[in-house]
Amino acid sequence: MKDFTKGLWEENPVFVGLLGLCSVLAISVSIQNAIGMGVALTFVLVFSNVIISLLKKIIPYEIRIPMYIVIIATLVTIVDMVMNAYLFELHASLGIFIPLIVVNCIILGRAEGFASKNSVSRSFLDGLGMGIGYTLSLIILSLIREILGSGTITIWENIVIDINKLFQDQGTLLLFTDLFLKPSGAFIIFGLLLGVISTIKINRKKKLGDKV
Amino acid sequence: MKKIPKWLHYSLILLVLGLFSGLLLAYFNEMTTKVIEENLFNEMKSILAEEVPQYASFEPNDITQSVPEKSLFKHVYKYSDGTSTNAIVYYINTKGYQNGLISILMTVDYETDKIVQFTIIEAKEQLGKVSNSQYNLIDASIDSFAFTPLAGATISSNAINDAVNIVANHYVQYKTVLGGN
Repeated sequence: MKDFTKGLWEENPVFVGLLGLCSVLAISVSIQNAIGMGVALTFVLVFSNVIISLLKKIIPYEIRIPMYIVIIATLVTIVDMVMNAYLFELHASLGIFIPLIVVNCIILGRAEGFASKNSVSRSFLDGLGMGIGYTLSLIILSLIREILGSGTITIWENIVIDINKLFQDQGTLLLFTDLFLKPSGAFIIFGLLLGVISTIKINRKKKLGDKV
Repeated sequence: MKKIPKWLHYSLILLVLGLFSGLLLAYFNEMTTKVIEENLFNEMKSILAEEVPQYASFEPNDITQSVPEKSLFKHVYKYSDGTSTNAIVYYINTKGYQNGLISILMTVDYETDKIVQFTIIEAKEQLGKVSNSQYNLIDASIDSFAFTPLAGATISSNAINDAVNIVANHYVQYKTVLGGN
């Protein structure tokens, strides 16, 4: 179970590992994007972990990286084609960041650091935990950025909560700024979240230290 | 038995993996191509329904395969009421700044030979929120339009201008063929 839960908090790929930040900062402007990207990455991560773990005994050490890349690129291309066919608008919204999952360090990192050394079931749980951890981190970042940036929460295509309008109806006018939808806003929110998470971790360590 | 050399062993493993990967991708490509094409067609239809509602009652036909020099275009569609041709729609891709893909949809009215619709439907380079009217093409005659380049986007403007000229030359040269298809 530890293999699954460590990705959610202790070894969270985004807020602890600081991995795959390019796509995290770029697409976290709506929850819909976060869910789409998170599911795509989780699919690739789980299957690449399972396949690499299955093949670990026949993958020669010297050519392991090109083999990992072929496996990951195949999975990413499948995700790209399926999303383009069945989730056309989401695919258009995520754009180049779907094909770029190929070079996401989380996937190659888990392949090299975990799946190539552990059993299929453990690799599966590791991939799933890391994928869900990545998705949740993206959702938290997107939620804050979208609320502050556009005053809405876009859960899925037509499911949009217009916070701006809710407050206007009650006679309060909130001022939202699209700074938070821009890369600079992404860095500000991400930095603040990192600070909060680090503080929580330090406090927890202190408490544990006091008990010992 | 003689052991096979390492380089051959590695090459064979990579070859098998590549073949398996290719087969899998071919299967998924086969499965999704039609749906992706359908999505593009529907997107094109919704753009046209909004921008040239006069053709909304007709169903556009994909005539790409029977068009001369078809490799120049991603798709060519024809609006027809059954007896006569109403408009020709060109879907053309070009490359702008830093080779960024720019996809253009452009409609020429068959009766008046005027450009009645022009839309940049995809631009990998950020062209900003460019109004299509800024290019000064709408209602211009296909053989005598004056393209207005976009300030600050010279390379992309030139690429768009080239694409518009390809469409114009093609239409002027093959109008009767297009209408007869």
